[in-house]
Amino acid sequence: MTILEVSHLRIRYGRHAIIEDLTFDVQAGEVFGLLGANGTGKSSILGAIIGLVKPVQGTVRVLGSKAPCTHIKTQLGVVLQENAFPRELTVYEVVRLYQGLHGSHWSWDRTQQYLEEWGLSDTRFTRSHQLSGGQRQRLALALAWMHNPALLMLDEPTAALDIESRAEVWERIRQVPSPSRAVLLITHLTAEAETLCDRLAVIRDGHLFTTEPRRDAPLPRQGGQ
Amino acid sequence: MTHPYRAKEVSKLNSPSISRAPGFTALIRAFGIAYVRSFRGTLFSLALPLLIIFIGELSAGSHPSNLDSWMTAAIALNTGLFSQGLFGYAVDLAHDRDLGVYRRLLCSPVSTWEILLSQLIVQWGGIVLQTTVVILAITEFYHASWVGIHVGLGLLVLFVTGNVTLFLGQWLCTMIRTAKTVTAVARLLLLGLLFSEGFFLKMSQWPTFFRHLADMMPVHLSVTMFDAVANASRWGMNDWRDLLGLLAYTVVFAGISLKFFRWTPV
Repeated sequence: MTILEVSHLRIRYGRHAIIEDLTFDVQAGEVFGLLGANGTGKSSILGAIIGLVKPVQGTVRVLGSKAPCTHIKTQLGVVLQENAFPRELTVYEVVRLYQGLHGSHWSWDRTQQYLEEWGLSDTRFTRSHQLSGGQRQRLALALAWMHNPALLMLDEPTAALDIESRAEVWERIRQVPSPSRAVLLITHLTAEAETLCDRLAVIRDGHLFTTEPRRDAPLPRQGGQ
Repeated sequence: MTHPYRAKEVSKLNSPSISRAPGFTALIRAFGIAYVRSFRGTLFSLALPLLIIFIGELSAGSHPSNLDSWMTAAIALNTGLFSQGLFGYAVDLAHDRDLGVYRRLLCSPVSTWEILLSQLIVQWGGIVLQTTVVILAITEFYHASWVGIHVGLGLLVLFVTGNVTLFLGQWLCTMIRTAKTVTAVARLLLLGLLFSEGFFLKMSQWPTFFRHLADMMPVHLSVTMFDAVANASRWGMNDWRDLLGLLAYTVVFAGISLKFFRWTPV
């Protein structure tokens, strides 16, 4: 089952071509990795899938429907490279906001338990602009996982995390793939990509090179570099 | 290529049915909380008009002119509304955009229309609250009594001016992409606003060219209309023309904003 299909995608910023004729797909039950150095346009691909970036050419389909559209976003869980939330809202209120946006309403106890699972219960009354980089990243991850999406798109998900938290997030990512769910992992960390990904695409100079990493690769050295 | 599972089928697998109403309500609630906790907007949109009324009352001394008093009240109301549009809305909007708050929101099933509309609803709630407090202060200080015609015209002018101020704020964020510059320009505009209201120097003392220029500014149009509302017997054709002028400003600001506004940071 194809969860995500990207065909002949071309992204330009002004006259500068970022992505040239990119085609790939993500199948249910896999972690698909996009690996590339900083500034190679990985985040722009994510932006094009969500609709934040307008490609000059190409199509994106999620679960067979043309993306981006509001309906299809109910099936996406997204962690951006930089995540920001309304400054004046507390962590609890941010979680409530995103529950509402996904059409669900959890009880206080359930929300509290969920925040605890993500190590955020101590910060539930902290305003989002007072969170540390790591805490904000945890909140972004918690929001992406919250509605059990068909496709998790994670852009440098462990960048702001300490070693312990990184291992914990890796474990969570490993548990996602199922007959109806997949992960698109965007990273510049080779070790992270090789450890987690079933298939891996390397982006260089706007073009894509696909390789097949070993499924049961051992965990890399701590730090993931 | 065939897809054994279509979006709707997987939707059933992964999540409960989605209705848009809770999302919209959640946005209004979140923006409402942010609005109440945002000190800057409240300070400018409430404290400034109250200060103007207080200073106006003090400077009137023991021989207050009725005309001056109503003009002061009109300036106070107007300053509150424009401050709300510039500082309560535009500056916060630009800051949140710079941070990437809207970019993150747009990753979830929400449209830019829902974000814009919920923002405007919250701002309108703020305008109603702020104006009520200012009008109560005017009533108390100037011993005003309100009859049907005052209320009707007042609500009309309030509605039109409120929309001008909010879309002026939106237009500002459309033309300027960084929060720092929006804040700096908003400060300058507020100063210009107070000048063009005749707050520092009476309009009659201005050079003719600047007086005619100020006459066409939305700020001046709404001040004269608020003044006419308070003296309902003076409301005439010129005021209807001013009202149309304000509507034209609203259409221009809204048109440019809706067409060119970007929710994502530079």
